[in-house]
Amino acid sequence: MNCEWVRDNISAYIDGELTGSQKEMIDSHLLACPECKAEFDRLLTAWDTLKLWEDKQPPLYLKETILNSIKRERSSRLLRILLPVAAILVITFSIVLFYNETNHYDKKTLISEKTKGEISIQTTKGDLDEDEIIANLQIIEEKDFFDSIEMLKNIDYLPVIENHDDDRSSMGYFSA
Amino acid sequence: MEDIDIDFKLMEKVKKGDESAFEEIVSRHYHSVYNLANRFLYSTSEAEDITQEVFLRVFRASKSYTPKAKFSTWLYTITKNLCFNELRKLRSVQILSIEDEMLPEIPSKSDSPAIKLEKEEMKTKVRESVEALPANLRIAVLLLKYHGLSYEEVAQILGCTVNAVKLRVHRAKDFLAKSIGYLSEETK
Repeated sequence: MNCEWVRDNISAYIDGELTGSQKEMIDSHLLACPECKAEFDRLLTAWDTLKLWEDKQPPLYLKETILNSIKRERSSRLLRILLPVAAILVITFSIVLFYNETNHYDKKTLISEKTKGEISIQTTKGDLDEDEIIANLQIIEEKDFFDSIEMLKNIDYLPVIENHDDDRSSMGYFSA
Repeated sequence: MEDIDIDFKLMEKVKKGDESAFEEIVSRHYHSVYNLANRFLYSTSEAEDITQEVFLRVFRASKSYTPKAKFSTWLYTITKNLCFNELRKLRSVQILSIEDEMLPEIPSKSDSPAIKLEKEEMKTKVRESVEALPANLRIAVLLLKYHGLSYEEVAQILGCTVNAVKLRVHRAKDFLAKSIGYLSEETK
């Protein structure tokens, strides 16, 4: 065994990182070689001196600080999950509420106007331009339909039409 | 082996949202993390910040944690990365903390004043010598000497081979021997 191999492995020998046979080889070499033994002592002394740099006690508040930061992280993690869900729910609820209110308001307005007998489809349309009427034709027709339904609900009975007079429509009876 | 099992079991509980398990993890390891950071950066305030950040990262990653190596290996890897990042920042702004030098150590009651003084001098020499080591050698020395890790564990943390660790440690020992030896000759 040569000194070079021992010098290369002497640090690992100090750290107990060699196999049993390698350790034995260095053990016996150090007994026979004063130069390698001096090198071993030099490194070992320096390595042992590091023990003088003792552990420092962490400050008492450190653990509490760590745990508090984890609590904050936990809360913000929960918020990150709940916030989008809450936002979606609020938006959905608002949309539903808005449409319900709009629909209800439209129906209510038309019903009140119809029951007073003041406004017909023409007067409803009268507030609108020709272009607007065309654009909103479907809505107006739907309003007419609801109007008819409401009117039917409001009358006590339907008169029986005995003769098939073309000039008298069911609407004629209602207005009468 | 028992310690490893405890950490794994605790991390499993943390995964399930057990707050007390995380507290146990912190209690078991914050001392080591703090000391590694403190010795590496030589600053107590930076060490405190890093310790806090390490555990925050552990908590964030706890859901996806899978035990591939020892828990402490993972913990020291996070610590090492944060320490290196901090070192880069410190170097870029050229700030060196000297707060530890301003804090007097509590002397041991049993030593005579001469021995105390000699010990203090030696401690300072050791600290200065370790501090003078290049960052890659210093972290290897700290993990090996003060945290009792093996070459293999240090290699995992540093992301290098066991042979590279062996070489670094050998070079570090040689450097420290020269440094401490030179200083002691000088003071004679």
